[in-house]
Amino acid sequence: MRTVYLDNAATSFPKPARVTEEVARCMRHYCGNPGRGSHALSMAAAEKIFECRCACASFFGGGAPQNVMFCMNATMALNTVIKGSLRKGDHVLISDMEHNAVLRPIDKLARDGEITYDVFPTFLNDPHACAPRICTAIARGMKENTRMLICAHMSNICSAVLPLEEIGRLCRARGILFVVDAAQSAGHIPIDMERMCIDALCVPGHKGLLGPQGSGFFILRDGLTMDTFIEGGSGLYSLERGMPEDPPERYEAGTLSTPAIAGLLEGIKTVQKIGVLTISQKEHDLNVYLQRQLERIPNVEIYVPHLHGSVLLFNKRGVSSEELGRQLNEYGFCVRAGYHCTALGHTTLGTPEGGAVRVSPSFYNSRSEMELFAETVEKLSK
Amino acid sequence: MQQMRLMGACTAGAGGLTQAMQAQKVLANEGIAVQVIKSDASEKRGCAYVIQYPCASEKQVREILRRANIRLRDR
Repeated sequence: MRTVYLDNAATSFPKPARVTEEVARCMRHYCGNPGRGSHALSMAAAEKIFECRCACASFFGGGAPQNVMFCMNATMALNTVIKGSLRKGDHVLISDMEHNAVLRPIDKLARDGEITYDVFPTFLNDPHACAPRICTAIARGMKENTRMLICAHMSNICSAVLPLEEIGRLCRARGILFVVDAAQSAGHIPIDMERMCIDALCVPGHKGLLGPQGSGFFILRDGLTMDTFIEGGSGLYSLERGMPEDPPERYEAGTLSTPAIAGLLEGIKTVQKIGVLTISQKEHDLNVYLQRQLERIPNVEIYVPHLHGSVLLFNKRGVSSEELGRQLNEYGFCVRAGYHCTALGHTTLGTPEGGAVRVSPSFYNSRSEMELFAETVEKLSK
Repeated sequence: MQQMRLMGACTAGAGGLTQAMQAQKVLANEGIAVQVIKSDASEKRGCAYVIQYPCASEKQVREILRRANIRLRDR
């Protein structure tokens, strides 16, 4: 039985050959500990990491390579930025579509009595929702002590994209830190930190950028500093008790994953070669095509059908999403069912108890696979 | 990247390795070849990274890095 992978919102698969080959080449030939020694392998690893920093900074309009900090994944990037920046008494705004990677650290800080937060509406169920309406709602929610606004660029449960440029301008005008979770958008749609007034961009390497798992990073705007989230060896000023003052070493305690970062660099090069807009268009077309196929099937309910991008969310009435996901797996389709770590977003969209089935194809999927998927859903409906 | 210290060469503290590599890249774009070297561990704060360049280019190096917003540390 052929496997059709449609869970790219969780992690992209398959990875391009140049990614897997570079990971292997790194482990075979130059996997010294970067920034820890002056020998050839340590320096070779450091040079590869520096090359990847340059690529990340350039790809997202993030300025100097020193602004790029590597970590495990977007969740760790978000935790580092959130917990390194917020102070007791701060107020935070988050969108009603946030993943638990944002909601949980923010809610924990609130439960600990450190901060307060509010959720702003994105009006995603309204086909006529527009940037000014969202910004008006955000402005209403801003308080004197609002220090940070966090939002996902693209939802992980539907194809909603938030108007970053407008939200960013509003935050910049009010002196509020604008933190963006680019878990679903990086590599799928263009991001320009400078134009969008983004202060901190949190990115997974293993999704749209086609890198290995363990290759996350965040980019801080020029000159923005914060407290450290973890401390430890940095290979720099070892006689001092505190972490170095300058980025990126300040925020990168412990050994980086050189193989993952080397693979990420090849993933970014692949995305650049194909073109983000080409990827975006292909995913949009697959989404529209699949939706048309699924709409013909009785008992299938598609959520926010007016939005088209890399994610489609649906249910089949009378069957739980988990059961449908399990049945689809028996036919070779890899999809994700349930709440997708985004209970807040599911509440906003109004999905039933048990969540829904998420289909997230990639540039590498085809229309014929969408047809086969819809035929299988129909077959399972009978 | 060579680690050898050259006779007649000047060095400037760059702090972290990333900063040193960025300085090297910026200077290379201006036609000045520099080396990144790990400093002596016996220094007051512990080891860091320095860039090594021809002393004849000292003024030019500092000006290029100043324009690129790359801070050098006096050692």
